[in-house]
Amino acid sequence: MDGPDIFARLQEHFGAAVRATHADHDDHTLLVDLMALPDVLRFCRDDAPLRFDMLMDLTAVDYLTYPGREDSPRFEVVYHLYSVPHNHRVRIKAGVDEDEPVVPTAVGLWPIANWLEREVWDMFGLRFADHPDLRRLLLYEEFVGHPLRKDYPVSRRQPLIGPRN
Amino acid sequence: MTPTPETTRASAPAAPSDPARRTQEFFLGEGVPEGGTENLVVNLGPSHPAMHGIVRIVTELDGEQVVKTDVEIGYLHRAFEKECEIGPYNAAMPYTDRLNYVSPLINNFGYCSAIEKLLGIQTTERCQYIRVIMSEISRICDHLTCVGASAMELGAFTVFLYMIKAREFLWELVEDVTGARLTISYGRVGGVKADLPDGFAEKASHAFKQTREVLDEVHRLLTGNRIFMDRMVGVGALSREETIGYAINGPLLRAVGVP
Repeated sequence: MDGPDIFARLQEHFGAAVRATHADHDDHTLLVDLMALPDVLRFCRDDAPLRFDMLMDLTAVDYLTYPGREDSPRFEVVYHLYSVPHNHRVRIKAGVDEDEPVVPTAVGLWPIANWLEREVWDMFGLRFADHPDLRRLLLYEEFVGHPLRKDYPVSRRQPLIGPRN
Repeated sequence: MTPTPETTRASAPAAPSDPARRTQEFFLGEGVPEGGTENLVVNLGPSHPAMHGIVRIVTELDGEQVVKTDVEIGYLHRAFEKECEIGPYNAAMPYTDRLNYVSPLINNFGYCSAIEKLLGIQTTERCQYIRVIMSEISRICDHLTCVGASAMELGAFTVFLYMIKAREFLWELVEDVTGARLTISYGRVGGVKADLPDGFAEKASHAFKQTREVLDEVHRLLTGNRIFMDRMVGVGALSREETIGYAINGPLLRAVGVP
């Protein structure tokens, strides 16, 4: 399937939950409702014509200082999906509010989501509901803040901790 | 949850009861309740931060089988993404050298292609050829290092030396082209730093020929080697579903039958 067909298939099944689509730089992208995200992802993985069996990347974007997005949610969580049998790709995004940065987990769909979600929690401070083990992945527990948020200054110092044992 | 030292100690067998024995040593079957066996928690690493590839793995062992692991991978985290938020695009190029210390060229070119895609820049055909050739050389270097190092972990040090020797032939090519061995910064948005040097084609064919000879030697040393095969075949094998589910690609994905 090429991009427009993937759009059509998902729009047919999820209707208004698919907020917007675009194909900038030939990367086909859907913006979906956060509430509908688990269903959309499950459908993407299980539907025979789509069969996105590989989660290539899961990350987030902080649009805090991005011009023209003052009314939109501050964060977006981004899923890059790839299908081994069909050799096609899609990118799925969902807006996440700053006040309640909670995203449903995808660990049940793709095991790799476990570490990727831990990384997003670590770097952006988005929590993943029902994640089995949501610890920081790269930084240490005593680290204060989430460094890839745009309001985290590059030069901030962190408390030094001694050896743990 | 990371096991604390207390839990680690608690799962070890109790101290021997004979007060006359003064050293802490255990004999077969001793200290284990009801004669059964218990899994042993072993903490591997972290070693010194200046070591390559530092990682901490808390493993739970049943004999020689690894039952469970908890991996801490953050020791090498160098905040490159955050540093890239400041400064122009080209200023991030040296960071991409340091993402993989065997094949920095591929990371250079990957970063360049991403920016070219964003800006809509079409690179010249010659540049594309140079990038592909240099990436392929880097990829071979990477495979040589990985296979060599895993053989060394099994005690086959000769293989490691031979393969690093072969990598050296290729790194000399890289040095000719980029002027450096690791911190090459050869990629540029829209092109590369410099053209290939004179005589590159002859040097490259010579280096490839030498590398093939080394591969032939290594092939005779490893493939069919009883010790190597017994310790590698079926150990930590991944199924097709696991490989895809964990988004593992490259040689491992091909190894489970995905072309």
